[in-house]
Amino acid sequence: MLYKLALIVILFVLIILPIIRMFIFIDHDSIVDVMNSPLFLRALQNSFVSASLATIITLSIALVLAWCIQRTRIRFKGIVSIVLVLPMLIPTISHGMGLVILFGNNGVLKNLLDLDFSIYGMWGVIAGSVMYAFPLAFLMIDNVMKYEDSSPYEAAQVLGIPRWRQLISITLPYLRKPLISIVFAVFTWIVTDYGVPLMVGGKFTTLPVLLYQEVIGQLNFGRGSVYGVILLIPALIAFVIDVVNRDKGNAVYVIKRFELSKNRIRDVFSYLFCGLVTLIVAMPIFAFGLLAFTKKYPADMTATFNNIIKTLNQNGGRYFLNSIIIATFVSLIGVALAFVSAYATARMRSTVSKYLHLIALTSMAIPGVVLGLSYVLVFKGSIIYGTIGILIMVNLAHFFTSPYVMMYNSLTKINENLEAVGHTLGISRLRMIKDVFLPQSKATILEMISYFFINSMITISAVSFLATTSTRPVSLMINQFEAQVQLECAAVVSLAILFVNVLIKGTVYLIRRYDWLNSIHLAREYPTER
Amino acid sequence: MISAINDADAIENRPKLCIRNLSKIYDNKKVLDKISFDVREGEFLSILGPSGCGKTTLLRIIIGLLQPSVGQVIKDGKDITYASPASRGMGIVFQNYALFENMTVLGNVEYALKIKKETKRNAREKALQMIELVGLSEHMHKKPNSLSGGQQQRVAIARTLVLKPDIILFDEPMSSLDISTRLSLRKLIKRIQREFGTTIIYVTHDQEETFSMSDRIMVMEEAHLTQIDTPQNIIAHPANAYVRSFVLDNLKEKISSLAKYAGY
Repeated sequence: MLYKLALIVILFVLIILPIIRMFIFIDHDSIVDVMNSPLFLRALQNSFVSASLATIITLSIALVLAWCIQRTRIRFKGIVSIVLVLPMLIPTISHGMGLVILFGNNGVLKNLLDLDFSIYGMWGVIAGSVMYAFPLAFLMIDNVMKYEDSSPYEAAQVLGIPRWRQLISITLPYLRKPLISIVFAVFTWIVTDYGVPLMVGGKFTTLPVLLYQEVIGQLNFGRGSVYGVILLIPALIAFVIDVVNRDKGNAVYVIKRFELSKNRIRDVFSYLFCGLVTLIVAMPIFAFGLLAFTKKYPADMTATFNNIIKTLNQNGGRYFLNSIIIATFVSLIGVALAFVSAYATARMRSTVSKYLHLIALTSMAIPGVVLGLSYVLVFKGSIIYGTIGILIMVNLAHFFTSPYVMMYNSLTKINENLEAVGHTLGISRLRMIKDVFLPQSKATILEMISYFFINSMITISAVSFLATTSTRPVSLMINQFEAQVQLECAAVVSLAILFVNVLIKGTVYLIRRYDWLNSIHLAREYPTER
Repeated sequence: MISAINDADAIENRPKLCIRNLSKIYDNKKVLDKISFDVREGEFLSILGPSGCGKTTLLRIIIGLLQPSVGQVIKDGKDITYASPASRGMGIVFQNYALFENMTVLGNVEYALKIKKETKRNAREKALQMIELVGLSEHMHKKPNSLSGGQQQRVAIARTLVLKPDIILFDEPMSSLDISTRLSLRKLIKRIQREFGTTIIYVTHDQEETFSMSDRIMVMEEAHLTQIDTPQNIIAHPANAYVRSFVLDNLKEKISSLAKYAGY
């Protein structure tokens, strides 16, 4: 009981307290000020329009891609899946940068294909947003389609119902609920992003960028807080939709997986589409490589490591280390905190647990810029402000929900009578956690570490409010380098982040694939037998 | 309140377990209503009743996972109503086995012993004995997910046996198993009762099962104890219309339809 209360206090301070402080900070004048400001109204409109268009495009691409992977017979599906993970391993601002490299004023492709348009502005923001959002949207839709039952389709086929009718009466209803949740989640994600509009927005200002400018540029916390509250609204709506949409528990548990028919034309289209998507995803990364390792693209194409040295000379190495340290601490503390919280809510159910669960879920609703702002309001002047500690805290608060939910789901699946067994055999709760629950959660813990680490490496939103020149993570250098017209250094940084994240993801994958953890465990138990 | 009696004779005839006036109220609903009965040492007592009649709640109170609202649980003359589950000298086997999925059969069975600071060798020896008793010696290095339901239940049984409880509680242990598995498990449980003199309290909703295994059957209906007697007496003198219909009529119907098929 005490332990649950302690957790509630910790999470409350991390997540809820700052937001409340932000609400309190708002005064009547600020609200009036903002509502009458043409700058704000313009930014609001910009945000809404660009995010809506970006969401529609993202969902369309993701749907078709998921269909290609789940419902056509193409080879290399594994490779496509791997390539699609890459965009999620770099900061969103890097996607914007990729567009600048390819289509900016000195853009690689712009010059190559002799194109005549400016990447800066609304369509740049939309393009950049689509680039980082569609892999995630794809993953979510893919997951839904993977577990679709093929039986209704077989029944329809026997009844002579044409394919297009099947789409309308079977596929769409099945996808409707998850799609609604996904649409709102993607929209929220895009509308609260700060990296892409910062890089390619130009004069096209969106709300998160406006918030940053007002707070960091002009120290206008009052107006910033109003923007912050407004940015909470999409997430709130998404949350409500999710709750309303919750599966009423009538799910079919035994499904028949799809057996794919042979269809040359369909597969050719699928190859083309997947190929195109893979190309689009790989291009920016390839461009980063070109820029990072040549003297001066496109003028001087000699290979060099000079750019790396240039980056290191400007404290790149130090900031990179900061990022690693932050990511490591966030992973370790985050996994521990999330596990302990999930254990309290999943295995020690009570009314108090419900509040704990609710607080844990709210972290997902708070956009990074809003969290950053509210942390400034609460912690400025305290000893933790300006240290690397506050960066660790804000990332913990920012990324808490997903890993918590992963562990919650994992613990819920474990036999509900195990506590009773421990009780009757005289085994303490702690022992049961150590010897039974933790070992059975190994895979989940690895995924949680991966999630915390990768997100800490790529985030720029919250930390941009709280970093100082000594605590700065490397992701914040990208914007700086672009402003200094040193895109090659920005490319180096993006690649460095990508490299570390690929390493982490790859290690987790290998550990799970080859079950290294288990082999170590078994070897210890049976050293000479067998 | 029955206190410890010193008379040797009385101790000899003293019931193993006394349940006195047990009631349990959950959310204003009476789940158990003034239940009283005795269990003799080494006896096989079945608790028979439909779903929701309170038999699982009763079992959980006996082993201490739950506390009653009113009443006492007395074992060997000592009041254990509020004692911890691990200190009661009882074991419990669940319907869904509740094994430790991350440990092998051997790991599952010896785990509790290792916690209790038995030497590694002792723990292993005792575990191996029990694994052999339940007939799983050739599977002992396997994990639960590669065993059948019946095998997993055997592991659960071995896991409680290894602590040498004098009472073992079974909560509908066979509900998810097929007929032939049930028959072999029945034999095992009866064997344990015989060889170790263990007292068995067995909760189920299956009439056939109770009649074939029990020394006495306790029939429950909606939080009440309706009748507790030997199978023969229940057949000869059912206490009320409920016992007659739930227990006997259902049983008669099963037997007569089987008899018809067998040509009797």
